[in-house]
Amino acid sequence: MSTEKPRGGAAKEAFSGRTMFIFAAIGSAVGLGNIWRFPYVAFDNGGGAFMIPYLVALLTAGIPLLMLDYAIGHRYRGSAPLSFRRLHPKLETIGWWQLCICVVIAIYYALIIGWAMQYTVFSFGKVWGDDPASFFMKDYMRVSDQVTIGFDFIWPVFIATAIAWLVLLVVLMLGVQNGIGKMNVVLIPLLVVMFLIMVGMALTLPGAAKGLDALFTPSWGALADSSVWVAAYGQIFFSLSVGFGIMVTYASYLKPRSDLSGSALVVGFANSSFELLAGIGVFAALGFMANASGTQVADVATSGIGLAFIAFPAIISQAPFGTLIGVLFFGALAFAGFTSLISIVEVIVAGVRDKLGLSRPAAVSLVVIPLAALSLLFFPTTTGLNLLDVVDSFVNNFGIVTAALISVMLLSAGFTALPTLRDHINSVSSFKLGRTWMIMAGGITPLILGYILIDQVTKTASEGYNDMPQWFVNTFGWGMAAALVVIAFLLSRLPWSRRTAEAFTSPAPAIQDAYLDRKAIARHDPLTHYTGTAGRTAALDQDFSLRAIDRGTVVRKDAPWAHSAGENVPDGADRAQSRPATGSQSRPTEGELS
Amino acid sequence: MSSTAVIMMVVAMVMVWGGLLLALVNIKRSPEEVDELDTPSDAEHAADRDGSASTAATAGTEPERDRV
Repeated sequence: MSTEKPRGGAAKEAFSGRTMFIFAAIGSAVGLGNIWRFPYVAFDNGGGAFMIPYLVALLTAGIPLLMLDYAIGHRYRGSAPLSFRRLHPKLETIGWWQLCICVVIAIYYALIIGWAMQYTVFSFGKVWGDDPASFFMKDYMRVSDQVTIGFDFIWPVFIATAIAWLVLLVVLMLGVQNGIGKMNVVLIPLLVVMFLIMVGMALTLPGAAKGLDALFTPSWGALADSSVWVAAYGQIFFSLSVGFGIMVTYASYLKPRSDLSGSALVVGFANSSFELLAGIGVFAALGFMANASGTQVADVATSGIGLAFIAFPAIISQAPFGTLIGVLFFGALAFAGFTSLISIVEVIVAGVRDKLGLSRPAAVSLVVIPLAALSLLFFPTTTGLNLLDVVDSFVNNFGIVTAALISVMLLSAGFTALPTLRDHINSVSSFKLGRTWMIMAGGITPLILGYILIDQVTKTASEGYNDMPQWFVNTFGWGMAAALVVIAFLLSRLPWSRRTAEAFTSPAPAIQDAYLDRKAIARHDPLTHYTGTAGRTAALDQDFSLRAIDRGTVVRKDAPWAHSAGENVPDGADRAQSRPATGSQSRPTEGELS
Repeated sequence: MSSTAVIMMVVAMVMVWGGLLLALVNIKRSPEEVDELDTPSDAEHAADRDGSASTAATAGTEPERDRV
């Protein structure tokens, strides 16, 4: 049911049902990290014993955070900036911060999909020859010795990346249901089938048992090591696509009565199920590689680009039916990456759409074309690989983690949003949440995220990053991560489109802040149930906080385009004036709140 | 493969894939409900025609809030 309304605004679209939504959410969660990160992290952090911290992390942080994101998107029915804005007028910056993170990720993510598509084709002729490492670095990417920004393009990579962007443009143009939903409903089962065949073939290779032995032999001592627990929480956090707007955006496309916690359980376990499958496939193949070269699995085990584009080509060259394994592996990598890229770019499209009140085609063009241009300008070059390395590391370790940490802390402590969001989830879901959920989402998660952040900051600040020149790391690492916050703040200052602002009031009341909640508790008023329309946010034209309403100190600044006929005041910025509240028939008055 | 590795592999499979199975069973048990709010934009759309967007849209979404 894709209902395109002339007025624009992302909240007008919806998935046809929760199955479609679950497929899309799984498509987003299952990405490159599942295939090339999990296996090595598990192997490196206690092997079979790692499964214990991993499952604990899934249940105590991953799924609770997923539910939190769903609740925000579903309750406030908007893109990340709009949902946070509706939750509380002061939280809009958080939404834009998450959106900016998506911009950065989208720009480099497409390049990896381009590589995976090309390597799918390379698998037929095993183009990499005897030395896949030097093929990738020297012949294929022609990686420059200089760590800098250059525009020495590698045209085959440029074209492959451009194709990825073009397909993305078409899918997003088709809309939430017909584009995103249907694409995921086809690609996710296909991905699973391809991977199952790949894993089945890998298991028959000589040495496969040796690989699985290395992956699953538990070293119980690891359980006493705090870094193993942090690795488990990090893996769950990064692989679930939580905390940067994706799940908020997708949940806003769910129908009002949708099982949120039930869906989150399915998505969380489906993501981990795929990771486990990938671990088995990857280590069976690595066992074969170790067997063939007469080394230990530990010597060949690796992750990331080294695993996908260097180790796997070597396996493909030596294994029987190597071409088929290659096509299945790189095809799966491309599909998994693509379904994630769709969700990342949709966050941006939805945000731009809400802010500017655009139609979908206009917003998609406005977002995808500049992103593709940036992506093609900086990454398919001889210097692109180093840039990707730095940007990827910093946007994940400092961008996503910090944004998630601050938003969770604000939601739980600053704005006491968790009881309301929990009640919202319980009102529509099969799996009811209690206080445990609030302790996990609002207590455990910030502790773990805070630890991960401090750990990474101190390490990177003292040791530098991968021997890269300091100016390069300062600009594209620290500078980029800090710039996102500044840009997000500036974006939150811009007025919302008149269309979006006037068209709809928020479907749910804003979360009161701690001050108001305290007053309500003192009067034995329920925090989450509103008897009248009090507390329901006015649409987007509300620039004041609920506390200001309560104290009667509302200062309303009209946006330049607001109805000002008859008020011949030339400068919009100077028109700050005191009024109780606009549209008083549906807005709270002081009496109702205090 | 050593027996401990086999045991750990089976345990991991049972917990993760079993968890997925349980999650699927749980969601299958609660059938999707269809209600009048499935097309939330209609209320707003109608409101637009009336020229009283904010009041009508508020009224249109009232039942949802009551359930919350």
